[in-house]
Amino acid sequence: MSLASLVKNALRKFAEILLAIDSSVYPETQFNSVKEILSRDQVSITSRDLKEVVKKLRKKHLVDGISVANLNGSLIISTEPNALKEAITSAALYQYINSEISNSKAVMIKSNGWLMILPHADKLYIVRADASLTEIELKALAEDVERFLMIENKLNGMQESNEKEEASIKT
Amino acid sequence: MKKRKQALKHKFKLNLILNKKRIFKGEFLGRTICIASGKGGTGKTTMTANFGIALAEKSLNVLLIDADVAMANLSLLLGMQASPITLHNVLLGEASTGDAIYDGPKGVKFIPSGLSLQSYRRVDPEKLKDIIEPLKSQFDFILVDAPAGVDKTVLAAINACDELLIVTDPTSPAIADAFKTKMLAQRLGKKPIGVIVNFVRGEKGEITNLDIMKMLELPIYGNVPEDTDVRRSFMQEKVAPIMVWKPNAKAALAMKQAAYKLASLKEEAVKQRGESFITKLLNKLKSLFKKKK
Repeated sequence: MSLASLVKNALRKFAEILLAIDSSVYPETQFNSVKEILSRDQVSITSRDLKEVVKKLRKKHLVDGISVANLNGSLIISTEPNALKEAITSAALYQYINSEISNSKAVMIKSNGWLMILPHADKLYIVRADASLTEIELKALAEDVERFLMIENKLNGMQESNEKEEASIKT
Repeated sequence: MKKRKQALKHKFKLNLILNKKRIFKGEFLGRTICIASGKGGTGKTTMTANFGIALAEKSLNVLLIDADVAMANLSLLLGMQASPITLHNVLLGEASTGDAIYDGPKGVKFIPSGLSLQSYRRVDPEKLKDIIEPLKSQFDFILVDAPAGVDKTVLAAINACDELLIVTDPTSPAIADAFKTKMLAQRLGKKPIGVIVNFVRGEKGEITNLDIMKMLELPIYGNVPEDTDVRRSFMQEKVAPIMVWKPNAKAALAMKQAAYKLASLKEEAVKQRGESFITKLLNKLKSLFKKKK
């Protein structure tokens, strides 16, 4: 840098401070593109179909596959093609580990990505992902499903009682 | 927009009444708020310390927790780095929570995090929730200072609280990180409540409040101006938060107002810096006149 440009820069800085010149520009284009990119990650779950919900939860919790099974291995719902086999194997695996190491909070296996098994509310949540999830994240995923099931059960219960009421009125 | 403003005003009034009722009854509010940002250096720790002091000055029971188990700074800001029992000891099961609670400035209580890197490697931050849960019934506000980033220590801090307060600066990188933090909290089922915009200089290139609100879909609790006094408060023989060192500094006043808004407390005449000599004189005369009466 030549001496002339150094002096020029110094003078400009001095003038900027002295005159309180604001040379900043509103980064509208950059801000809008950031906004657009990030808004793609937002997931809204409005469906009443469990399969649809679980598919959306896969995106929300950034995982590849979710299966929900009973503790005996019978499958409740899954996003995976061979979920039936996975549910049985995972249940057996969890039961075995829990019998050897009691109070196991989760089972996590690394093999072509991660297989994570979380027991929660008398169910097994079987999650596949490229990166491992913490217990907090696994629980949050499970609680999302539980919340949905609870609402569905309530709605179904209300619907049933309404139908019963209607039937009793008719008779 | 007008309707939204009215609704917010109504909510504020309602919260004010509810809070007063509960405090009057001797109940504690038990609000747990995680102060996070995603990006580092936005002023989370400064905000946590000063918000805590502002609320404690209003006779609220406030507990500050330094959840940055790896890079603990809150104890340094409060000048309490020599605390023998820390959050590390509690997380490791070596001490009870009560033993790690210290008296901070202006009646605020404080759980410091250990400065040692050795014990950091051994602690499980996921246990933080179990530590905070029983404390809810003893405090009005539990403010948790989260680390920067989105790793498991941040997850643990957010998960341990019911609400999330985001601190950002008015630049797009910081706001992008704030957005990710908000998403993270929502993924964990936590409630993001609002944003504090720090280091505001009023330059043309700063992202406006309206754009921040539109992007994050959250209300703004306050704009804290960039103030060299905040930096200087770290450079004293005895380090103290700006609220203690210079309570009338621009940033301190802005933080106080934001803290009151957060607590739904009536914003009392928070003295604005830069009052003219004549205004000050008139106020003094008025107060003298009132006393004589």
